[in-house]
Amino acid sequence: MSECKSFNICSVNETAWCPGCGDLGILAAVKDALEALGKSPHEVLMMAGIGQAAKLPQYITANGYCGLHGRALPAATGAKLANEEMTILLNSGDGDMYGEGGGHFLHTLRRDIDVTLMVHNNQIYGLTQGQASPTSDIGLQTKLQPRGVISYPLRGPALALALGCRFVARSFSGDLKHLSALIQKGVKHRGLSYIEILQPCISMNKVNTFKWYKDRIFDVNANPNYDTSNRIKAMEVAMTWGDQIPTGLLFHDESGDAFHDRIPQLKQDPLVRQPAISHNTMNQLFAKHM
Amino acid sequence: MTDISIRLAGAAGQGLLSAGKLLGKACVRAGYHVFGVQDSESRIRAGHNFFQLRISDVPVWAMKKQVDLLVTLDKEKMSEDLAALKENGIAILDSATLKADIEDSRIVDVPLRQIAMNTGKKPIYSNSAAVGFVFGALGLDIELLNSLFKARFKDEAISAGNIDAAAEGYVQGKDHNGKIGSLPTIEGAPKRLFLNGNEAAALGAISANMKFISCYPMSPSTGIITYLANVETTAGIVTEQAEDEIAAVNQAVGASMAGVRAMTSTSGGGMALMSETISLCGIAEVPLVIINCQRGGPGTGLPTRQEQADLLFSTFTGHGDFPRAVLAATNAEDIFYLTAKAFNIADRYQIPVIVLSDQHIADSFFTVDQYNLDKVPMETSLVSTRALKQMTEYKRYAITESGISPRAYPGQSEHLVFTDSHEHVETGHITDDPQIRKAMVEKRARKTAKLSASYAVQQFGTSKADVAVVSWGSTGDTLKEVVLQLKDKGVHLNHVHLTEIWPFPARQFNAAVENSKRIVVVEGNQSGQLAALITQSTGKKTELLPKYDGRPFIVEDLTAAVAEVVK
Repeated sequence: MSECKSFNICSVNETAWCPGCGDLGILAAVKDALEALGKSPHEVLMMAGIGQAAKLPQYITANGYCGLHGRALPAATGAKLANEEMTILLNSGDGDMYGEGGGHFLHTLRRDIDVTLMVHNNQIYGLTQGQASPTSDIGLQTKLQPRGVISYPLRGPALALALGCRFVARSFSGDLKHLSALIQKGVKHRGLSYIEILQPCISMNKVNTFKWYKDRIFDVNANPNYDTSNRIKAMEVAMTWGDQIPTGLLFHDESGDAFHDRIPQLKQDPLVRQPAISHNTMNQLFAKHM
Repeated sequence: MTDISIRLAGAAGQGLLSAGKLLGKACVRAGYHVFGVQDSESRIRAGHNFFQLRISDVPVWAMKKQVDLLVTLDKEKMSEDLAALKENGIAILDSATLKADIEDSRIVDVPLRQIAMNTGKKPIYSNSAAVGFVFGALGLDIELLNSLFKARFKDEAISAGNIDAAAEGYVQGKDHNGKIGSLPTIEGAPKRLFLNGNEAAALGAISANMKFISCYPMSPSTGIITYLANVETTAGIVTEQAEDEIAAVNQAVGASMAGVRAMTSTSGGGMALMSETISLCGIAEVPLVIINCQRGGPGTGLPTRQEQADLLFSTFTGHGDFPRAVLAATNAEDIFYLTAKAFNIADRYQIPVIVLSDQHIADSFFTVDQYNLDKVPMETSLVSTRALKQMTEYKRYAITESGISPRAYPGQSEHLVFTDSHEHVETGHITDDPQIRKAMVEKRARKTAKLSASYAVQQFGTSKADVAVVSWGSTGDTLKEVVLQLKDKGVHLNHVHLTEIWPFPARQFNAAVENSKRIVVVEGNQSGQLAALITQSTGKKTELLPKYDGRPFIVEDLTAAVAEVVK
């Protein structure tokens, strides 16, 4: 493992995460992956909405954007279309992405924007002090759901597969090497790379603990016969949840292109480097109204 | 003075808009000033719609109640349309098609469908027969129409079908030549544009180097992105239809943060969904332009109708304390320049700027002098890449005397750019330190004074008159005409018109009404929203002439109302 010197924040910016939080492992993996990819901080834009996961850009030396709860994906869409040369990574929680930003999750998957989306899934709302999240299991009791959750949990990877996502993966915050490798693959993928990251919330979720995940996860890619190119099979895997929870690269289709590849105006230069419209072109447009 | 009004009435889907645009454009090419108003119900087909044109040899930017010529393709509200027809006017209809049996000496029965079948062999050419009739009746040059048909229809058979139908209508129209006036080609008239407010706003945005727009369709704003989507490859811009208004505005924010000029457009309900993001732009200091084409509210309200009731909402939307600019367009001429200016303000001050348009501006067609691109300068707070490279240290939110920090975008240089909606330190990282918080709030607030000082108020009529009549938005042009008409009757008024409304230019406004004893605010809402801002910002008392029936002010009615107030 490399030392991730360049992406380490130099100032004394202590994280707002609890000691032992799964987010710390994810932060280490992101830095490790960017280092391994040979990226420089100024080439990278870390984007996020709001939540504990979404604080991640604050703790890494790179360009950053912390916007509104649930709205990181639309902002990333705009940023990528303005400057497709930026490497954009996005960190979000299960509440931020599947709850508040659920609509954007669906439609940004359809667009296939070239960003790496990491959804930290701890099955609970941490920052607001422990309410159910869209991924909480049926029956989970919280302060706000004292009789237990009665809605079915959202399965992010299955949803992503259904919407045509060409890079669907799951990892665990406790396995830096596994996660870093997936992030690296995701950044290289031309299109939206979606990685759900299972993560214990040590303060607010006493059920889905580090041990709870550790006892259940298995890497599908450990089986040499696992076919990452079969979407329908991957869907079956993505719907699996319980005593066995699959992780790894569930599905990967490298054949397609990203959203910005389909826009002819972006074939030459990114928008941000394109010159202002000429008077000549403006006059052509005016002429149509005369 | 030539002043002819024509109403084309019918059901939605009958091609009224196309026919009206064609007629209008031909008259503009003939050297006239044309103002075209659409009146439509919120439905795709059927219902009763009309497109009304006012044609003059002097600029006309307001609608009149009474028309000289009525073309009706639909009998549903024929009696209403006939009520709008002057006593000596002409109504054209095809009694065989409409199966209408109305006794009215003003009606001229023209077999439009039969003409269409005889010439182009399809009933669809009926509209062209009607337009041809209008050309004949008004002595317009039919060649102007023919060349428009040829430009519009690439298919020769379709083009010929229209031309033949129009020629036959023209012959019949000639029998009525001179009855309601005449529109011979004005030799030597300058070339002018004929376009609606949405098209003008879109052109203004591109001229200001706007590169990215994302919108969710909402009447009456959709025409802006529709226009832009059709010219995006020529203009070198990217347009995107978002899944909702929240996505639309956040895409624009992302693009702006990443270094390009970006915008969204919507109507009141859509802008309500954008409120949180407008507030984000306040603290994150991301330049953003939002065009709000107002329609009748609240809630779903009147989707295709006129109202000016989002002024206070625009001025105060978004939680927390932060500076923003609110501009309000008058017509298709100034919305071009005002939209371009909005980008300069957003960019220079790093704030959200709301440009208020309304249904009347958005959908109406205006005749405007050719836009002067030299009047669209580029003003930016973006640090040049060269200057950035020479900096040893870069802080996105550096505290400065003007409150404006050096803006750079990610990837512009090796300096890192951090944009944050949390309260932040100068580098952009999260903080809740009370001293820094206070300093940042004050830094952002400092941007307002300079902006407000840069605003101008417009003044027409007699500045020393006892009564000041005040307008904003599309009401301004109608009031301008009213003030002129009353002047002819010996009533002098001080007309003050606002397009740059927030932060309120109190000093400039006070100077404009200095010699007037009464301030009468004419606006298209019930509560008096500009009146409230005037009182709040200047302490002055105002009187109100409101209109809130979902329709724009009309010259005759407003003249009577203003005359009554000043009596």
